[in-house]
Amino acid sequence: MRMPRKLLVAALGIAGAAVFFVPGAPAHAAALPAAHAAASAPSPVGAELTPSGGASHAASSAVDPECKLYYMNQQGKPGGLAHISSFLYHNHKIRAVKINAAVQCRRVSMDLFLQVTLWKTGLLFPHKVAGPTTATAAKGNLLKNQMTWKQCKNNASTTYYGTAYGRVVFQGVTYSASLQSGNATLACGT
Amino acid sequence: MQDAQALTTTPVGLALLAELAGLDRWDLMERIGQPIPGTTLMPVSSPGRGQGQAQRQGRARASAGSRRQAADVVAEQVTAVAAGLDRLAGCTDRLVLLSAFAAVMLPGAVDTAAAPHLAAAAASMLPVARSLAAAPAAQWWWEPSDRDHQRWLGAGGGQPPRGTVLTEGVRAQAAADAEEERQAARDLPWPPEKDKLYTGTWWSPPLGSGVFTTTGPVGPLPAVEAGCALDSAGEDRFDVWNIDIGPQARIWNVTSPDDWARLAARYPRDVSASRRHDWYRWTGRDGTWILPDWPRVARDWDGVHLSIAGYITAASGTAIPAAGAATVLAGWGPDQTLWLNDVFTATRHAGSWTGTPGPEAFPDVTLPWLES
Repeated sequence: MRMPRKLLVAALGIAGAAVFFVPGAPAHAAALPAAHAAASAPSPVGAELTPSGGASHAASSAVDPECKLYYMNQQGKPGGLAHISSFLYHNHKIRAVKINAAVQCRRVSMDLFLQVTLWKTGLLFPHKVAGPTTATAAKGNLLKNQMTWKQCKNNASTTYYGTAYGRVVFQGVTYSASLQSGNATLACGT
Repeated sequence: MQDAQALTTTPVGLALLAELAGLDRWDLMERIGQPIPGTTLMPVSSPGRGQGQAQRQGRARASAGSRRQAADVVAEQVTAVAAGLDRLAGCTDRLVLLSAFAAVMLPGAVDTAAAPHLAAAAASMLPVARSLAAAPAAQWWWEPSDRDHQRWLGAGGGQPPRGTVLTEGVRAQAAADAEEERQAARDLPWPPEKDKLYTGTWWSPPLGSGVFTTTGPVGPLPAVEAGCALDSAGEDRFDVWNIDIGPQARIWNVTSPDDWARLAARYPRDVSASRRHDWYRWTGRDGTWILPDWPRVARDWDGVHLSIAGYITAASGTAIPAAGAATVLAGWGPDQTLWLNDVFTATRHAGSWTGTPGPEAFPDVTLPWLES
C-alpha cells in the first residue's frame, strides 16, 4: 500500500523569516509564504506533491503518483534558479531573466497543472516581474513550465526568485504542492 | 568504429543508454533504496495519517530488506533486453534514436538522482553502448556537419546574416563579451558575499545579435534544434531556412571533450569573472576559466560544429582542463554549427515551423527493440 505524501514545507527553510503571502498566487499556494528575505535558507531542490481535498480518500488509495515539483537549472537538473535565458538571447535576441519549473511523476497522471511566477526582491516587499504563467497537460508524467521570463531593461543588479504551484490528479485524487526557489542576483534590471 | 566506451562516461550518456535499454530509473532508485533529491516523506494530516505512516515505514523496511546494488539491477535489465540489442545495432531510423536522446538531454529530477548510480554500473551498460555505436542511424552523431543539409530557425522575420553582417556580428559580440567581462570583474565579488548567489552569462558559445548557428534536419522536424533545444520558452514560431555550405568551409568538429579543450587552449580568452559564479556551482572548481576567442578562431576556421556525440561526452557541465586552466561546454546544442564566416553558397526560405522546441516536438515513437 502506498500512501500520499506531505508537502515539504519544512524544506523551504522559512522558519523565522519575514512572512509575506504571495500576491496573485492560487489559493493553495497562498498557504506558503513568499519569504523573499530567506536568501540564507538552504535552496530547496524540490517538493513532493501531496493530496489536497479528499484526504481520507487519498489515505485509502493503493498507490500515489509519486510526483515531484522542482525548479530546473539551465541543464535540466533540479535546484534551478532565475537565470539569463540562452534560448531567448540566441533565438530571439532578447536578454531576459527566466525561471523554469517541472512536475515529474512516476505514474502517468491526469490534468497536470503548473503555474510559475517570477519575483524580484524589494526594500519592503517583493514585486511580481512575470507571470503567473500556466502549463497544462491532460495526461502524462512530465510537465514543464519554461514560459516565465521578463526582458532585461538594463544591467542593474537585481535579485530574483520564483514561486510555483503544481497539481495533478491520480485515481481521482488531487495532489498539489507549492515551492519557492532560492534567490539569485543577476545583472538584469526589469 | 565509434568510441562506445565514451558514451558511458557522462550522466547524459548513461541516461541515454538506460533509456535505450528500457531501464526505468524510478524503479532503479526504489530498488537500490535511494531517494529522489529534494524530497522528504512526511505523513499526511488526515484521518488516515497513522495508518499511512505505518504503511510507509513498512514499505521502507521491505525496501531495505530487498535492497539491490545498482550494478546488479542494470546488469539484469541489460541481460533481459540482450536479444533486442542486435536490433538496436541495426537501427536505421534516425528519428527513433534522436528522440531517445532528446528525452534524456535535460535530465530532470530522476535522471539527475540516478546519474551516480548509473555511473557505478557503467560497465554493465557497455553492450548497449556498443550497439548504439554500431547503429547505422547513429553514425552521424560522430560526423561533421552535413554541409548539404543545414537549417536555420530564424525568429522575427529576420534573414540569415551574410558577408560582413556575419563577421561584424561575431566581432561585435566579442566586444560585448569583453565589456561584460570587465563589468563582471568590477561588480561581481569573488568569493561572493555571504548569502549572495550571483548568476550571469553561463554559456560557452557567442549567442548574441548577429551570431548565427545551424543544425541539420531530421525526420519530420525542420532541424535538430527544434527537438533538442536547451532552455526553450514554450511554443514558438520560426522561419525555416535552408543553408548550403561551400565545400571549402573549414569546420572545427567537437566530438569529444578533448576537441573542445584544444580549441579553447589554442585561442584562449579569460572569462573567469563572468563565468566563475555559475561554473563554480556546477563543477565545484575555483580557478581560471577560458573560452575560445571567437574573432581569433574566425581567422582559421569558418565554423565550429558540436556533434551529438560531442554533446553527450563534453556538454555535461563539467570542468574540462585546458591550457593550465579549465573550460566548460554549455549552452551549445547537439549538432549545432556556429558560423564565423560566410561560406554559404545559398540561403533559401523553406517555410515556417510552429511548436514547442524540445522533446515535445517529436512525434510519439517507440523503441522497436523493446517491444515484446
